[in-house]
Amino acid sequence: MLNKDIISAAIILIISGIFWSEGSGLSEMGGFFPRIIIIVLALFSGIQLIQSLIKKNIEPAFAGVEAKRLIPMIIGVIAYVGAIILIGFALASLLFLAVFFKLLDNTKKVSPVKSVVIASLITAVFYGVFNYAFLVPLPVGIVFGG
Amino acid sequence: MKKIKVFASILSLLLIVGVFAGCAQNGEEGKDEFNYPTKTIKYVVPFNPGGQSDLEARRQQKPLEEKLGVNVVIENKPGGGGAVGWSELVRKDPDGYYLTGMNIPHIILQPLARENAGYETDQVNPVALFQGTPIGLAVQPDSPYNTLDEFIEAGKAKPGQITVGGSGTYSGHHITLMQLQDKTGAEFQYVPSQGAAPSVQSYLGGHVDALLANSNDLVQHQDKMKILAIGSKERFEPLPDVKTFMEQDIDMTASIDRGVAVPPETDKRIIEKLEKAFLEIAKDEEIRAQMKEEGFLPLAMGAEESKQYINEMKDKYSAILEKVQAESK
Amino acid sequence: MPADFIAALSNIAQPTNFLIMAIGVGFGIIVGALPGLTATMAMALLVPFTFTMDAVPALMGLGGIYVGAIYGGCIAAILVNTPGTPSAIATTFDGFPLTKKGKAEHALVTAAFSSAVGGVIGAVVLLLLSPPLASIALKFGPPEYFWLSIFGLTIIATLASGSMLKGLIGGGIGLLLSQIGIAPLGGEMRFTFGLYQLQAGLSLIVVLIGFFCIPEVLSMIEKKFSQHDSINYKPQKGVAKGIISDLIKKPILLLRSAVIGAFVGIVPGAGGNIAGLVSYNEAVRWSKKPKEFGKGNIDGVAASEAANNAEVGGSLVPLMTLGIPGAAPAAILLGALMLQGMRPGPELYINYGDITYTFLFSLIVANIVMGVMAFYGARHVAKLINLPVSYLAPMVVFMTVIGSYAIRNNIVDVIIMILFGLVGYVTKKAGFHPGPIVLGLILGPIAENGLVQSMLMGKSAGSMFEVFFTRPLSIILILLCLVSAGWPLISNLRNKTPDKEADANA
Repeated sequence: MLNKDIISAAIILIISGIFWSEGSGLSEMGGFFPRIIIIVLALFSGIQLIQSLIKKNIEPAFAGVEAKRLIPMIIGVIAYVGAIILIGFALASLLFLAVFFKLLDNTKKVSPVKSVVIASLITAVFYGVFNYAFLVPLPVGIVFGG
Repeated sequence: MKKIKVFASILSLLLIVGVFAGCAQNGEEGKDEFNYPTKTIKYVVPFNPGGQSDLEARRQQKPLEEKLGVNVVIENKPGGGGAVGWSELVRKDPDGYYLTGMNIPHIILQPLARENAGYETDQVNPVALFQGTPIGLAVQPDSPYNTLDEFIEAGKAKPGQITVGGSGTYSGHHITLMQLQDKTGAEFQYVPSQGAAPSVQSYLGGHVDALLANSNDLVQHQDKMKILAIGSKERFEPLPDVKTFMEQDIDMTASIDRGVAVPPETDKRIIEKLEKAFLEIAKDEEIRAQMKEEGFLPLAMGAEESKQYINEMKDKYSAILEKVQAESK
Repeated sequence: MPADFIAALSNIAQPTNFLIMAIGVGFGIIVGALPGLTATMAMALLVPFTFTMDAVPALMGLGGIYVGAIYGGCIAAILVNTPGTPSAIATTFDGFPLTKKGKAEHALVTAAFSSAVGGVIGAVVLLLLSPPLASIALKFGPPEYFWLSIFGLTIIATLASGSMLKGLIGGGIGLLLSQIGIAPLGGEMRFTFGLYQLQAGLSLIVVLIGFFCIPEVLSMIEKKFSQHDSINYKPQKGVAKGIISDLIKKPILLLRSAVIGAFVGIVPGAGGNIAGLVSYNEAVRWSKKPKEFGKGNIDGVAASEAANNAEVGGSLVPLMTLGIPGAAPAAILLGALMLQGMRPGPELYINYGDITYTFLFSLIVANIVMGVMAFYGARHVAKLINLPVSYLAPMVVFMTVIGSYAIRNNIVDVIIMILFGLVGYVTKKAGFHPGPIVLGLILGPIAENGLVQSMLMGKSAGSMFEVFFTRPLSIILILLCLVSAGWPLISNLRNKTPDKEADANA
């Protein structure tokens, strides 16, 4: 019964509501434009909600997706950002790259040593280029006194 | 399975090496005797690359490296009109290796005007002020007003009908107009733009009647405007014919001042060392000449003097803001 | 003036100057290709050197970087669906589908050729037409910006592949996201939900990387044998020749795109992203086969790239003649000019004619150098796509993290990027194209500034109607909005007749 169009329209309606209440204290000058946007957005998503309740046969959103592959990647990406904050960019990147080079490999040809070596190389090159050529100092992490 | 084990152990080995390397570095810093600076100093500019604050920091970068004997890297951390950079600054370790450019009146007005700016004015620990940008008031060349008096009179006769462009809300330009209205009783319609360049553009296109602008923009566009007054204490050298507000019996100054700050509770000796380097650069004749050429006022105020100046301005501005906010209620 | 021209040409021909410019172009291409690193940032890196350099090499180097970086943005757009710079947003629409078909080289050569043509046209416009165009730029006041942004929003109709309604909702979401942070007028904190970190608002580039790139990475790996593994680039002979002769046969497409780019460029505050999107929209509108766009049509890549490189020249018009930097990279050039004691304006051409014309001519040359580099690089760059997914996917994530950090040196931006990436993946699955969302995000601040400033002007003039609806340029823009919004109806009517015949025959 619930299809992606109903769910997405409902979520956007809820978000509109949240933004409306967050912006309730805004002055006339600062609140005028956002209020117009919220009203228009709620209107369109309302139409979508009604439309999708009438219309059937909407294909499911995640057809054919393998959760086994997707979920580790999502967790990995989130953990990667957390790791950057904790142990800094260089080490976190090395870990992330090495783990996923191995994990995503279908051919089983990539040896652990190879993935670590390649990950170290990539990290080192980019770390060097950004720190010394582009002068963008990358974060060193809380553990190492960032 | 075996391969995974090998893999895991290689990774953990790397981690351990990394942690040790990190600790070793930390250990060296732990020495008590005063030896500063010994490593790269980060000089954060809380504005976009290419802005005046950024250009100023980049002008100082090489001389700073020479005077301090260590590398200085510039990092742009823009956002919220500087607030993002200053919020970060006041949360940093006070070890002297993290400096941030500071702008007055931004650091005074943001905490006053915003509920949660992320920092308080007195947390921004000044080292030096090195550049002033007096704010001036200009009208269109074909405007009927030729003097500040005429302009003020018009603002009283037709309250809110004369538009004045400027950069930002609760910014240096905005507070200047509030001050002017407060001192004279005239009333203008402020039309803020996002930044100085768009406001100058809006003025040159004739979309506003008058403009509040930084001295460098006034110098650059002086042939397309009648400048009625400027916010410096004394006559501003690059615009010798323009009278100050004070000369025209309006007791106010208006300026955006650039300096540099460190986190709260930084060691006095560190501040002294940095102050010395920044003031030497600020007093360099060649740099002073460059600044004047570009339309700025070279300053050289040390830490204590800067702190006093900030407190003075804070008292002034909070009084005006309170009054304006009380009136609007 | 002829004397200045000759001086300019001999300046450019000087080996050191030429070399500095060429290095600038190459450096710019690399920086532009990396998502998150912008032309502005690359030019800022050169600034400390310009304090001590002569005016001619300094300006030529900066110009080279600017030209190179705007082109470089297309590389990431074509290969991994991530605009390297915001200017390349529209390049992703057809560039990446081409890569998926194994035609990465086709897309890259198209981009190289049309960027060079667009760039040269833009630079010629800057050289010859600056003063009259600058006076048009000045006519853009708050009401005009408001109507311009409304016109921009009508592009949603083209970008919303599939459902128009979802396109409109996406646009609304983008507009709403653009409201986070300090209000441009009034100075209030909006929609920060108590987090002071959000007062900076969302960086366009950060959201761009999140919305375009992370969903693409997740789709790459979501199936064990993804379609991405079948993406294969095999170097073929004669691709480049074929593409170029194909493009030369479409002078109107290139010319129209370049003119749109240059024109959008002269309006300060409207950048290469808007230029590319508008030009793409027009390419679809005037095409005989609009349905082919978005599925890998080289015309789409050409329209976007010709426009965004023409925008470079256009964006320097208000700088050189009025001293108003219309775009962030132009602000850096202004700084460099002032540093040399050269004040932009008519006197720039009179007092410093030789240096000024050197700079203007060097932009033309830089575009040609860029075209040559890009042309010969295309084949090698296209090979990158042959990396197996197990390497490509983690590396793309790695790049997005560096890029979103580097843009403001802020870890909060990385968190926001990942968050929007995951949201973008889900919304894409729900049938929302990222195009309208990003369009809303770009146009939101322009629309609001224009709207509220106009209302303030109206308040002091005593009439809102007068401000919004009676200014000549505004009226033109309103008409454009109406035509653009009503276009689907018009083209329906146009197509009705043949359709009926077809029906009758069937």
